[in-house]
Amino acid sequence: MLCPWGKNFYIGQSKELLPNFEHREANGSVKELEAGLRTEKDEERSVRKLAKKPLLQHLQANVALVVFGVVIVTFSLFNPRFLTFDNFANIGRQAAMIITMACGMTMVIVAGNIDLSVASTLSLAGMLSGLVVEATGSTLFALAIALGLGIFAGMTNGLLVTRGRIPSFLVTLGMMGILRGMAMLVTGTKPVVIYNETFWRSFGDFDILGFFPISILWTIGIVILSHVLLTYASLGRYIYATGGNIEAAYFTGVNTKRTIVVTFVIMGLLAALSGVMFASRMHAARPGTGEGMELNVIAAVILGGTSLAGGKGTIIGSIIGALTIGTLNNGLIILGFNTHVQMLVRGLVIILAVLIAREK
Amino acid sequence: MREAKRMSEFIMELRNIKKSFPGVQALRGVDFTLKAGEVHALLGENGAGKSTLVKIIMGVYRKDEGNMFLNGREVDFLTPEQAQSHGISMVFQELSLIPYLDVAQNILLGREPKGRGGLIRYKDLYFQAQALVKKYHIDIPFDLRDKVISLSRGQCQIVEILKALSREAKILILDEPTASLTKEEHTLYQIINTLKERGVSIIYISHRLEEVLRICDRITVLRDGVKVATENVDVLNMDKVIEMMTGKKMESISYIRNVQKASEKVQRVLLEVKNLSISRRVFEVSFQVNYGEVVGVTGLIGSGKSEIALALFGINPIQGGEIWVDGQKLVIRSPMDTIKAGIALVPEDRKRQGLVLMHSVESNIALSVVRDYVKFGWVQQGIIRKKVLEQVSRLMIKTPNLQQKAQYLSGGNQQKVVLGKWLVRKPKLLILDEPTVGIDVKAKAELRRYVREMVADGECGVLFFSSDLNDIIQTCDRALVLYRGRVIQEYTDVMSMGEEFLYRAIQGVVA
Repeated sequence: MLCPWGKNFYIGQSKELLPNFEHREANGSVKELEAGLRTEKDEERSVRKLAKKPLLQHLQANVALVVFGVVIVTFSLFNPRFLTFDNFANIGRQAAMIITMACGMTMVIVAGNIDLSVASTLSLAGMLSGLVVEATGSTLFALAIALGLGIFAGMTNGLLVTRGRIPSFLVTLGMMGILRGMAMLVTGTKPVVIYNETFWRSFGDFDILGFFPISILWTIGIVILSHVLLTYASLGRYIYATGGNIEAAYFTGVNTKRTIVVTFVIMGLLAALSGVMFASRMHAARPGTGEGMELNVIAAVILGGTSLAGGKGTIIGSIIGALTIGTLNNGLIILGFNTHVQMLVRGLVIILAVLIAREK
Repeated sequence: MREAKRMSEFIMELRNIKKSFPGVQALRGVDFTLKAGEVHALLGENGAGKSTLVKIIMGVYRKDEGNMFLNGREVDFLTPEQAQSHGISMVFQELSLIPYLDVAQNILLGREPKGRGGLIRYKDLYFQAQALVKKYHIDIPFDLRDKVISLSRGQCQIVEILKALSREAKILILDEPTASLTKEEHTLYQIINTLKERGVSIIYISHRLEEVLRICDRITVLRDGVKVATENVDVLNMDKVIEMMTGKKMESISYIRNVQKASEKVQRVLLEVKNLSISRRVFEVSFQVNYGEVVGVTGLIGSGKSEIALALFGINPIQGGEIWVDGQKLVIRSPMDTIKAGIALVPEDRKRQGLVLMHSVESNIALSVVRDYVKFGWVQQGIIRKKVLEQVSRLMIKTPNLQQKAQYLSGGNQQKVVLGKWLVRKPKLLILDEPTVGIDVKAKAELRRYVREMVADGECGVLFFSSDLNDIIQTCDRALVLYRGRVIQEYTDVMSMGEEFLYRAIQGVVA
């Protein structure tokens, strides 16, 4: 009984202002209830802005995919070597780290923050894993140390942002310097050469069945896990809510501080894993590895449609964004342009894509 | 009175102003006149159309119909800047000062005296600000070089007034200027007197009638978007004003409640608040809420309503007192604790605190129950969707589908989404903080009905904070009246009370 007072509930002067009494029993199946929604007269439709052309809307929603397609088609037309499995495996190998980190970065940015320290985490984690694997011979131990560093760095970032109430831009800018400095200091800027074959083959330098790069397999695993976490787990809901409106999320009982800390920890973990993957592929770890890479990761995420203001974004989008940047770099090299042109074109594409995707 | 006998005795005149918003006719043809050098109070209950009217004068909203004359010439402002350039300024409730600039810099913001090369000449800036203070003989309780962030709210209000005067304002609109004042009230009255003498006209919006009768020359009362009367203050008293404000409404939707007399029920105490104190806003407030009961709390702005609501939900820390739920003392550190205890809050600012506007209706409602339907870390979306749909259909939320973003809903439907978000959890105690502000008449009536429905089975209780007296009268079993942070009255027979009676009570005039 939802209406215990019966039909004589209201006494009012003007009839049309009376609330509608017919209400459906709310016991039907989901399908029935949803059908009811559609038949409901909706006044809100007029409020919505429907002036946009549908085609343009689709283009805006999937701008990363469109750009990705355009890039692939363009390069294929200019160079037959571009459209080969070997070349795509190559792109995948190079983009693997960016994609891995883009997964974490998507969560950090959707929750309303930013992490500039990822490339430094990557380099220090690579150095530590190299040193440990050479000293102990244990690949597992090396991985554990590297991931431990990632968790520690992420936890520190997260706690400084939430408990210390320092903007994440500043916290991670500081952390970027600290970790890079440590990576330099740990060997006095000398690279660590890695001879352990298990280590090579576990993360980077191995093709499964002779053709499928293992680093891509790792990355696919990370992508699936991240997507599930952000879409199907309660943590994902909290991440979106925290970034969408931290005050409303808090008023709804979401532990916003813990949510933010967790995003930074995941980010640190994935950055460290990327560092191990890179050291493994190169058979060496260098303290200068990945300088400037944090900006590529952020660019990939934004290109994929994630809002820098938080609350909006997907893992899939970020992957497409990362692949676009990777493909662009690869294609320009194949066409014989140097790195300077790559930077220029990449910059242009990012600005153009964001320009198309912006609302209104 | 020494107004020039020009075209008319009024410096501003509004004729037949009409304005409607989706679902609400806010103004239905209002006339308003303003004399030079008068303090003219604009009175009316919440939603009567006061702020819509002044926002039209200020060029924030555009009128649908009607004419506006300034010094006998017709004007139509498209933006607040245009209104300001015609000598009209408004001090908003939400102040618009830059916190890290000092007082003088704020007063002359955008019009700083500049020297060669376009650089600001700070010496002249302070000189000009000082000259302004002298011109109006204002005793300012702060220094011109104080940063605004170090000032109290009341002091900020004085800075705002100075800022308006520096633009040569001839008409000044003050919206609830004393709501948050304690110490600075007298400075404000003094400033108003000086301005009057210098021929500045003031439109004064306030709910404190005693103050209005003391400092204003004329009053205009609005009710449901219609002007009830304009009168000289010397022929009025508080009773007459209240009568004018609360008289018969055009669109009141009231209903007959079948009320069980409190004594007929077995009373089970749900919430007990003992001697609650919140820093300098609320003092030793005690009350209780029983199962199956709607308890109203009302009072003027600044009486401590919102502070109590936020403290009970764990947003604001409490300085003293105890909160007991179901006979157990609550230790409150954050809303997570109170939600666990079965408390829910529909906050005052639904856009900032209630909703993630950029997210869908479904996400918003689901957010409160996500944690309860998780299996191995996996959200059971099917179950949650069904729960969400039940609320959408029960509350008759008008939305084309569940994926509609909350920002595209009307105010009333947004409020229902916030309500639905908590109803899915079936809270023991629902706290509503000004839930009917800014929603249309129909949504208001529906909301009141849902509140009665909720407590019908006696499994929960509602604490209803509102300054809309009809909310209290139509919905509540008991009502508390707050005045300056203390409970001054408790009424058990709310339904039979007239609005007039209650309005007198919130003025602090205990009958």
